[in-house]
Amino acid sequence: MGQSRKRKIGRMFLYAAVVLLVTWTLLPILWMFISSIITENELLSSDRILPTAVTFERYQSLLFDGAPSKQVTIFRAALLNSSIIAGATTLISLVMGAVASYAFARLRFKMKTPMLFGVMFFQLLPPIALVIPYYIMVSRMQMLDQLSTLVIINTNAVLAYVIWVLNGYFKSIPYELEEAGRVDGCSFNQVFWKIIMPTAVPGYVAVGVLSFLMAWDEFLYSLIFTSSEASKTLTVAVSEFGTKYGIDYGMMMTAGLLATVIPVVLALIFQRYIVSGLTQGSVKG
Amino acid sequence: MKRRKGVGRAEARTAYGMITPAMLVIAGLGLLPVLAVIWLSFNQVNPGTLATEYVGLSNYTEVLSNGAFWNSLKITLYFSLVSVLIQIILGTLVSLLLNQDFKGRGFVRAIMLIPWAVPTIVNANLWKWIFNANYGILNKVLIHFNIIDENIVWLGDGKLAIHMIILSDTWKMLPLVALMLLAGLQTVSLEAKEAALIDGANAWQRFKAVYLPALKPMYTVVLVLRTIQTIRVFDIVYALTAGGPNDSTKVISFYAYREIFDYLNYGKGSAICIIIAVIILLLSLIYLRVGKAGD
Repeated sequence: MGQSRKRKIGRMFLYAAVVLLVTWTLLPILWMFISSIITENELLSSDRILPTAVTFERYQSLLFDGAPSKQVTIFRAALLNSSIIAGATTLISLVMGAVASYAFARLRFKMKTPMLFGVMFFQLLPPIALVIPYYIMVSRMQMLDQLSTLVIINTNAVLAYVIWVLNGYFKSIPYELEEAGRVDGCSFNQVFWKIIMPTAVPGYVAVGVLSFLMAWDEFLYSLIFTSSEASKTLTVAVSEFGTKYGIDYGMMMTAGLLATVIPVVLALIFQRYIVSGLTQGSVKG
Repeated sequence: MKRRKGVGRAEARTAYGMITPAMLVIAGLGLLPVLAVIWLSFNQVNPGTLATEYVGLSNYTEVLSNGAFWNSLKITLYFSLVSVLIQIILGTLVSLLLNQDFKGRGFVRAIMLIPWAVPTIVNANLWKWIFNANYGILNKVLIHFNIIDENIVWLGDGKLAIHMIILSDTWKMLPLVALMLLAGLQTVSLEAKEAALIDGANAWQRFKAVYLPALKPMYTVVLVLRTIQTIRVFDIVYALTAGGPNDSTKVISFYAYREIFDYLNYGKGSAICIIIAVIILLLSLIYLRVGKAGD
C-alpha cells in the first residue's frame, strides 16, 4: 500500500516535470506563432495576452502578395538565396570532405596529425577572426553581393567540420569490411567506391543535415558581404523588418517562423542522426 | 622490406591525392587569412588605401592596456561560464527525466530538437520581442499575475541584459545538451540499473554509482564544445543588445566587430582577433586531449 502510493506520487512528479519541460520548450515558439497571427492593434496593446481575432495577412503578404513591399521582396529573394547557399555549401563540403576524411581515417602519410589538428582549429575559429582578410579580398575582387562568395566562405568552416566528423565515422567502420573486398580482388578505388562509400551513408546524412543547418544559420558574413536587395540571406533579411516607427515585430516573427520551418523539419526527420553527428567527431577524434 | 616501403609510398601518394582539394580550400580560406591577420596585427592599416605601416607590437600593447578589452573579455568569460554551467546542470536533470519511462517519451525527445533548430538570429529576435519593455509578453504576463507593478526594461539594464542573453541562449541550447547527455545515459545497462535498485541505494547514490560514470565522457565533450561555442558568441548579442547598454554585453567578438567596422581600425582589430584565436587554440588543444582520452 505504502509502496504503491509512493510510486503514484513519484509518477505524478514525473509527469509534472514532463509538462513543465514541454511548456518551456514550446511556449516561445507558440508565442512566435501567436505574434504572427495577432492583429496589429492587439499586438501593440499593453495588456492583452491572447488574441481575440486572428489574421493570416502577414503570411499572405510575405508569400503571395502580388505587389510586395521592399522588405517582402528582400525576404522572398533571401529564402531562395539561403536555400541555394546552404545546399551548395553542403554538397561541395560533403564531396570534398568524404574523400579527404577517408584518407585521414585509414591511410598512413606524413603530417597527418598536424593537418587534422589544423582542420579542427580553423573550424573552431570565430567568424570574426577571419573577417578582415575576407573583406579585403572580397571587395578587391568585386565579389560583394554574390551568392558564390558566401558559398566559398561558408565552405571553409563547413568542410572542416565534415572532415572532422566523418574521420570519426570512417574509423568506426570495421577494417574487415575493406579487407574482405581486397581479398576478393577489388582495387583500392573499387573498395572505396563500392564498399566504403555506401557503408558510410548514415554518416553523410548526419553530417549533411548539420552542414546545411550551419550554413543556413550563418549571419556575420552575410551581414558584411551583402547589401543589395537581391543578395541578402534569411538571417539578415529577418532582422531587418521594420517600419518608420521601429521594428515591425509581427512581420519579424512571421518571417522568423518561415525561416525556421526548413531547419525544424530537417531536424525532426533526421533526429536520430543529429546527436550522433554532433558527438561522433568529438569523441572519436 | 623494400616492397613494403614502396607500398607505403603509394599509400601516401593516394592519401595526398585524396586530401588535396579539401586542403587547398582550407589553406586558402583558413590558413592564409590567419597568416594575413597575424601580419596585419603588426601594422597600422589605412582603411581606404589599405597601405600598411609596420608598428611592431603596438597594436597588442594598445589592446592589452585598454580597460575596454579586459571588460569584454570578462563579459565573455562570464557569459561562457554561467551559460555552460546552467546548461550542464539543467541538462543533466532533463536528460535523467528523458531517460525515464513515460507516455509520449518519443514525442518529448523529438520536440527537444525544435529550439536547437531555430536559427540563432531568429531566436535572438524572438527573445528581443518577448523581452520588449512595452509590449513584450514577459512583462504582460508578470503584470497580469501581479508579480510586478510596472514594466521592466529587461534589456536596458546592464546587470539584467547579460542574463537575458544567457536565458535566450539556454532556451536554444539546453535541449541539445540534454540529448547529448541522454546519449551517455543510454549506455547504462539494464543490469546495472537493477543491481542498484536491489542494493537499496537512494537516488543520489544510484546517480553517483550508475549514471555519473556514463555521463562523464559526455560531460567533457559538452563542456569543451559549449565553452568554445560560447566564447565565439556574436549573433545573439548583435541582435539582442548590440553590446549595450553601456557596453555591458559587449562580448569579445562584438568588441572586435566594432573596432573593425565602426572605427575601421584593421590593425588593432587584427590584434584582437589573434588574441581570440589564441584562446580558441588553447581550448582546442584541451579538446584534442579530451578526444584522445575518449578513444
